[in-house]
Amino acid sequence: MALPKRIIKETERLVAEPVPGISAVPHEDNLRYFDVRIHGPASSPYEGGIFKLELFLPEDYPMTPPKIRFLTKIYHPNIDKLGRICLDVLKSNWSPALQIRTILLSIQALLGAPNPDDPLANDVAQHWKENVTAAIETAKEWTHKYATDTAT
Amino acid sequence: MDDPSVDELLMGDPSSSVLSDRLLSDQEALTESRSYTRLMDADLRARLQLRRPTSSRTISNKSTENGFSVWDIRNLEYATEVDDNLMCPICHSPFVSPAALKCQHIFCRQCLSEALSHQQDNKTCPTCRRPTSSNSMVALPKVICRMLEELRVKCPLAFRGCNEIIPRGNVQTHLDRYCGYEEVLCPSEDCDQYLPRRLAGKECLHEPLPCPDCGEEVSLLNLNNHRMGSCKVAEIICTDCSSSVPKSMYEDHITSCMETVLKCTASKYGCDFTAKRSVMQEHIESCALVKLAPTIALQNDRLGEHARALKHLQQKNAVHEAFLDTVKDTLATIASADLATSSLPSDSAAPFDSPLSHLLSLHEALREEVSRVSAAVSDLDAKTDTAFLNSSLRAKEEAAHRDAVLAQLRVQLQWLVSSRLQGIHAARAGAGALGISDTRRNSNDAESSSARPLPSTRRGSDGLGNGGREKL
Ligand SMILES: [Zn+2]
Ligand SMILES: [Zn+2]
Ligand SMILES: [Zn+2]
Ligand SMILES: [Zn+2]
Ligand SMILES: [Zn+2]
Ligand SMILES: [Zn+2]
Ligand SMILES: [Zn+2]
Repeated sequence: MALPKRIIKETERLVAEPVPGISAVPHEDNLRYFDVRIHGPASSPYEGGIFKLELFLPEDYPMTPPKIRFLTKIYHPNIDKLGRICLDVLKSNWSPALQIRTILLSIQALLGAPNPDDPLANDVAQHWKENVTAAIETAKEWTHKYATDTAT
Repeated sequence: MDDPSVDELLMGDPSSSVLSDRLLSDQEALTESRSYTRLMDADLRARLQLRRPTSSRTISNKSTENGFSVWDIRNLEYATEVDDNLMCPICHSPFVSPAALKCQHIFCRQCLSEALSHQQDNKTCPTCRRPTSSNSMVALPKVICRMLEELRVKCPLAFRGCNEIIPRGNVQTHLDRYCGYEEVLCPSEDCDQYLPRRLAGKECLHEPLPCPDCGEEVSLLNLNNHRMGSCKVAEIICTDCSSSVPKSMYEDHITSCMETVLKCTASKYGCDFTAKRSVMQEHIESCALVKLAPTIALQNDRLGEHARALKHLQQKNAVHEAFLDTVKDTLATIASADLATSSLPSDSAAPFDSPLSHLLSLHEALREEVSRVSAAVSDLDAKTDTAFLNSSLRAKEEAAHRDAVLAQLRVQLQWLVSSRLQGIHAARAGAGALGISDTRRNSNDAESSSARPLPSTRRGSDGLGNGGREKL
């Protein structure tokens, strides 16, 4: 099926006016598949980390939300072991008036404001609720270990 | 009495000259604020060109049914930049039969119903999420729909070569009646095939004829394609030696044609010699630069390597210098601290411990200072970003405001001019009546009829002028 004009326009804009701290590059052979990199927001446990994600626009995008997943390991109450993200706008609260860039911004915001009351990774959320300082420390360690240049 | 032209009217009246001055200055401001946008657009378009293959793929996917092209209005290419306010938030293209919801948000009718059908039971506006329902859609006023249909688009058959630019509402008519690249039924009665409209004359172009080169049966319509492509015998004339070469041999010929003019292989090292291939070999054997070429290339590589190494070293050096500076600073502070401590009656238990701990604390303090400074810098960064964003927003708003004012002024101007002209016409009519009749009563009538409209006109124009100024 042909690529809808909207996807072409969105891609052009993502390339022409990138969002600070976020990059999304489509695959040459599949323009519905994007390699995404999000910089951890400042003064969050993810600061200094660069997180890789994959984003896929399903056939009926924008009527259904993009499918998106963390590839880099991350310690976060709303992101599970498989990198799936618990974010309402990616599910029930999706609207076709939203865009790839708004979704990526929401994910960056989620890194800055973890919400252990609406968890996807239950053990992490538990840790977060019981001992925030320790949980944040773990998140920092993971960021350093998996999301920096030195990480292998 | 002379009939004053509109221009004279405009120039003569001080109030209208003020008006036109304002118009001009407003227009200037508008163009200025737009030129920046245009600059950004140009940049975007340059990138767009890079991605062209993608978008052309969408167009060429247009299928043909019974010879007639099927096209999707949402895949049309617009010939000019369309105002962002006319873009559907769902398909990101100019609205197609737009519909509004109660919350005043507008979408293409089809986009909206599709979006609502994807929602569960509680339907909400895709933009603001206010509750809504499929039957609360309201069509926009006809005038807006007509303006949208006036938007200029490229013919959907542009990929076949049609260069027409037409109002969006006329695309189907263009394809049905005028487009030279649309397939139409062959004019011959015994033929049920199709051909491009621009080639459709009186005769059938589908009848098979033998190819003059290979004898294979080809229709006149496909003869050119055949001779450029699948024909095995057709010949191509070499532009260099003007001999005709069989197509299959052409590739070999252009790399060996003796008449082709070549540059010396050492041209990039400074040899200006050019000659036909037939004499080039002789030159290459005697050219000193060709012999030197490998050595020069090697030297070039080495130079590049050295430059890179040098740059690396310079960077390292800078880092070292910075480090040295910090060390010097620390030493200076230690020295002064030492002086201070030695002047004191020193009776501490561990005389070697204190300078060390002092050094450490100094180091700590410095580190804190650095982190504070970097925080301040990033803070400042964020502030300038928002300030810039705010000011650009304001500029945009101002431009929109100017637009509105401009439109208003235009209406006022037109109103002024037309009321002026009306006044003149009335006055002339009055004068005519006076000339024909002599009786007192008639002239009175004429006077009163010519005098009456004027004051009312003036009152009207004053009122409107004030109204306009208030809004300004
Ligand atoms: Zn739409
Ligand atoms: Zn709304
Ligand atoms: Zn056409
Ligand atoms: Zn025919
Ligand atoms: Zn042939
Ligand atoms: Zn030749
Ligand atoms: Zn030479």
